[in-house]
Amino acid sequence: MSERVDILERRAGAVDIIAVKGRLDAGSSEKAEERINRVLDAGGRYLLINLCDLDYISSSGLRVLLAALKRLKKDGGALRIACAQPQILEVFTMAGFHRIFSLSPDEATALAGFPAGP
Amino acid sequence: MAELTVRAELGALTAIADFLAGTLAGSADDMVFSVQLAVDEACSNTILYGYPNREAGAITIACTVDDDVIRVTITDDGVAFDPLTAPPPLLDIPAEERPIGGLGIHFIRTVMDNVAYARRDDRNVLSMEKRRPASG
Repeated sequence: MSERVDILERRAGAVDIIAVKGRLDAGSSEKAEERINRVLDAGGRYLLINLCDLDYISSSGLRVLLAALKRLKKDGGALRIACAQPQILEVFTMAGFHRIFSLSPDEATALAGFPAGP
Repeated sequence: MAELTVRAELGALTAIADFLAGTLAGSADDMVFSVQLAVDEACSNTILYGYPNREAGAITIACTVDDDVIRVTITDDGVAFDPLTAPPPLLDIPAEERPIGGLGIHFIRTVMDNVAYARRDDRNVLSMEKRRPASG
């Protein structure tokens, strides 16, 4: 198998939720980037990335998240990350990304961090 | 020693991760994750940048597990590239100003205890070591 990532999208009010499951490496990050950009192209301004079931992330995966964060900040939106597992958090910390991303322990906490209502 | 040779294509990264998981079975989870991350970053660089305007070559990953250390050697026939000459990334500046890139090599240096590069017989040879704690 050449790629091992699943990406699921849904909405909660004004927030687009994208769950990324499996491995986010150089081979699968392009697919994740396409899906995120599709949501942002459609006008999504509040993006919650759920990493509960993400087992692995490399610098390629971090680059995709950083690109989305930059784009949303420029457009007056927001991105929050929920539920990253300890080894994923360690990669964020190594990159210094724990200081530039909003990381929440679970999806409900992340959702509550967005501005209320449309 | 366990060894795996793959074509230098992005689709091979999962096979490399599986090979390391199998070879390092019995080591602590965080050791396995560290070695997988370092090897994945090194191989990703080779695959993305090692074969400009020519057909992808081959990458060989050799791994030995001793009581006190895990050794991994990655050999490829791509263009000469010493990752250890890359400057460290700027980690303390705002997201908007971050340059993209340089993180992979930073990860390799961070998670491994020793990293050495050599160019031998028209091949890049990256040797890495990760010390194992006494408890395994």
